[in-house]
Amino acid sequence: MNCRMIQTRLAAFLDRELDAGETAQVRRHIEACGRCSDDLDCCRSVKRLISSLPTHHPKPGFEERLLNAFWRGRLANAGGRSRRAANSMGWGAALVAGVAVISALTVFQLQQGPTQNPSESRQAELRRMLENDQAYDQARNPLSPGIRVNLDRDFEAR
Amino acid sequence: MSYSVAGAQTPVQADRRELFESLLTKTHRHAYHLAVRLTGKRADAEDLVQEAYLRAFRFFHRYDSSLPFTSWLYRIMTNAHIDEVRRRGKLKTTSLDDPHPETGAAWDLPDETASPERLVFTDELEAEIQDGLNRMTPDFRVAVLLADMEGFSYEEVSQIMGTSIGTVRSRIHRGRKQLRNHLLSVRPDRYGSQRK
Repeated sequence: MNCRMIQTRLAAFLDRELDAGETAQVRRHIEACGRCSDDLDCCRSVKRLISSLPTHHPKPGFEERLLNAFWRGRLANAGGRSRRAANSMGWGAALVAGVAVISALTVFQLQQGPTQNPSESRQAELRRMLENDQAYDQARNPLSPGIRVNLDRDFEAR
Repeated sequence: MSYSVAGAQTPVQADRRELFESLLTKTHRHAYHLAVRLTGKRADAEDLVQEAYLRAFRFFHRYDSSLPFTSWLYRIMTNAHIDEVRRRGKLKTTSLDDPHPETGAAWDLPDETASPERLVFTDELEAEIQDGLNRMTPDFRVAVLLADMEGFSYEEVSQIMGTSIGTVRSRIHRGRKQLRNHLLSVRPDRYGSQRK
């Protein structure tokens, strides 16, 4: 092994993480190479410095604060679930709004449809009936996506 | 002190909470010590420990109880630390020589040397080492601390960091080298007797 290969194994050699064969190779090289031997000493001193660092203890009351914050966090997560539920409701409202727009367009098409050509009184009656259906459906279930279906069925029936 | 289990609906959930609380009580001091060395600040260490336990509880059902809890917790904590360092690295930085963007006045910065949150080092050597740790590449710092301070084997470090043993070996080697070079640069008189 050359110096470059030894360098990549120095840390593992120091930590006794090499197999017997590699350990013997590194040891032979270090005995003959002053530079790699110095590097090994540097690594050893750095390792010793880190392992001798004093322990920092948490301030008094840390465990209590941690547990308090921990259960507050749990509550916040529960709040997150509520927010997700609220978002779902928001999507529901958006769905209703979308259906309402489609309904309005359908009414507009019915009013403009060249094949139907109904009289003005017939148009007004049809519009009122459709609006009633829509209001009834919304009152029964504001999130129901069935309004469009009802309107289509009404359109075909009429 | 007792902590209510009002949020638990079933005996299983209550047992789970009780088990988690007992693990937290047993391990939080050691986790804090590692967090202090990872972050270099008391306040950041407390935040990191808190974040780690929150994540751990959220995924507690995935914890394999045949393995040491600390290894699993440290994996979560070191990932959270690296995420945080990367997030901060992406934040836009502003020169302190420029005026404050909102007030137009000079920056009024707190004197951190007087902060009670600042780590109080027992000696100058510890301060220099911690400064070197703070400047290390986050992945290298995690690997070096897990191996040299916590005493984990390379295999355990590889499990905690979710990487190969070869990568761990490289990170530890390069991390120690970064720290050694830092110490040589700040105190050549003390550390300069050995070659760089």
